Amino acid sequence: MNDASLTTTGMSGIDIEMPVAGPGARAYAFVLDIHIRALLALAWIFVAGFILAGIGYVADGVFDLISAWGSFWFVAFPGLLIYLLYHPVLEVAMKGLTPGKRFAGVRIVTESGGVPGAGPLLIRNLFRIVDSAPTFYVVGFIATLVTKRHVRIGDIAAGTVLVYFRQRKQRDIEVAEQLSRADKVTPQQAALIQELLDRWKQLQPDVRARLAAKTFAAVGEPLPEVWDQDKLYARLAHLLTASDSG
Amino acid sequence: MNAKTNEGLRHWLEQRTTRWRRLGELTQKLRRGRNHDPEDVATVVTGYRSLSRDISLAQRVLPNSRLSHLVESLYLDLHTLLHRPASRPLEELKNLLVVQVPQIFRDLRTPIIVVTCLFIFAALAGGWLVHSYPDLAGLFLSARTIEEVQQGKLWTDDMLNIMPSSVLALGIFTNNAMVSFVAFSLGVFYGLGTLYIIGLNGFMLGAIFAFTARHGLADELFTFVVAHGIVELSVICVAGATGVLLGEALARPGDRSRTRAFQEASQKGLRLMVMLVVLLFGCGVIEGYISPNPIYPLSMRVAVGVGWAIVAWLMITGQLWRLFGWRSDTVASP
Repeated sequence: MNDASLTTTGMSGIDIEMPVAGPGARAYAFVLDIHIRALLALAWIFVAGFILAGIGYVADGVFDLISAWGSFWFVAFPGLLIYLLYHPVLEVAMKGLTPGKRFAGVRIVTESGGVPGAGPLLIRNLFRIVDSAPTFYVVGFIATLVTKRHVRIGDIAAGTVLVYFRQRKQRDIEVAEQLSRADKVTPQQAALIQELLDRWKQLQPDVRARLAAKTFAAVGEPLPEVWDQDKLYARLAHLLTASDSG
Repeated sequence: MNAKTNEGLRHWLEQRTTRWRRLGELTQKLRRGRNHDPEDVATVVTGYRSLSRDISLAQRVLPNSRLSHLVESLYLDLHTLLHRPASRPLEELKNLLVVQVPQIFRDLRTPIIVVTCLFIFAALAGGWLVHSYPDLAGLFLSARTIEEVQQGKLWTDDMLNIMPSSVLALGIFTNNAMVSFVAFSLGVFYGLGTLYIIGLNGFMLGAIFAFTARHGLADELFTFVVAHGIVELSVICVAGATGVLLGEALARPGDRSRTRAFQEASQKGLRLMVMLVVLLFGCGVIEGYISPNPIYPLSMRVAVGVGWAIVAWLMITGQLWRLFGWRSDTVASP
């Protein structure tokens, strides 16, 4: 089990723990990114190719642009650039993120938990030459298995770590506001009910009923006579409302 | 927990949620742009301090809840925002070119001499080997190229008929940049990977020159190489020296930890690589536009080669930028 974490200490001495992403999460993000970059490059090649072919059809070979080398500069070269510079450019521009990393819920941070600058991000990308050797990132993968913080050689060189991060959403603030209004239950109970409601759709009906029964018992509410799923949800949600709202 | 405590907790939440919402919005705003409202900045600084108290309370009363995650994530965002170093790209670029690159180049004097000696030795060894055993040329050149050379024709003769200068320059630049990156990064194997790459490149160069000399084409090859080769080969040796630096940091970290030494060597290496990539781009342009073009006489090629070498020297030692009056106010020790 991966239980490594990175601790950031703020000016006021508060420690925030960031769980370190293991080889699985890293590989997941990488697989997503490699598909995105390949698709982007291919999309460019197709679109630019069609545009060029269209111009060629209309202009009937008048433009030099349609020549083989024009195609290279307009079609193949930008496609190649997209594929090769995807990681370094996006990691710098998105401050340690790429679309794949964002989707996988991981991001690159410095060893002190901060946002890495362009230098460390370029170093970790330069060392892909070593990490990707001899093929399919074997060196890098082994490095993530044997190092304490699951880092590849590029990360060791750059002083970076991949950590899990949870994107703050508008809903989080709304949930906090709801906690402050829920006066039928304690804030702790309200937090548990919210979590249950958030996960409601992912749970099996019998699990929902069991957890709902436990919750009603804990807050001193009578158990429902009919275990209708929608009604259960509505009753739980009602516990999160203020008394004067009915 | 009694009713009074719960009421207090609710009151605290009620007060704080509005502030957290505001801090979240301000974080987004301050991440973008440069000219910030001082009032916004003051709010964020005060908010950062108060968030540390909120975190301890949230972690105590609602550990591992959505609320504590919200406060922690907000705190982290503000922490990152407030600790973000000032962005002064032009000043940083000047510092890199005028102070750091020349300093690193000076520090690498010994590894550069060692790597250059290795390159020359490998070239002589390759030359001697192919001169003595011409059949070994097959290890470095394709059968078609060998056949052409045996017929008195260099593979560089028709380069511009095969592809235009622009594509040629790009291809050559990419290839040379890759060789330099590989020479640098393979230093991670205690410098042995770098020495192998440098040795191999020197060996190939010597072997190819020896093979063309056997067929009376060495002068022609020299004519092709001279305009771009002086700087190109020097850059590869300097890139090799950065790889040796990496290897040395791992083998002899001194009083630093091995990881720290490796990181410092990587940072130094990257800074120098930035300059080397610029120089290789120049070499690629020369090799794409001048070297394969027969209209340029040898004297002009020599002039271009020596001229580019002087400019490269002035660039890497920082003197060129000082000629333009560039000074760096920040003294950074690389």
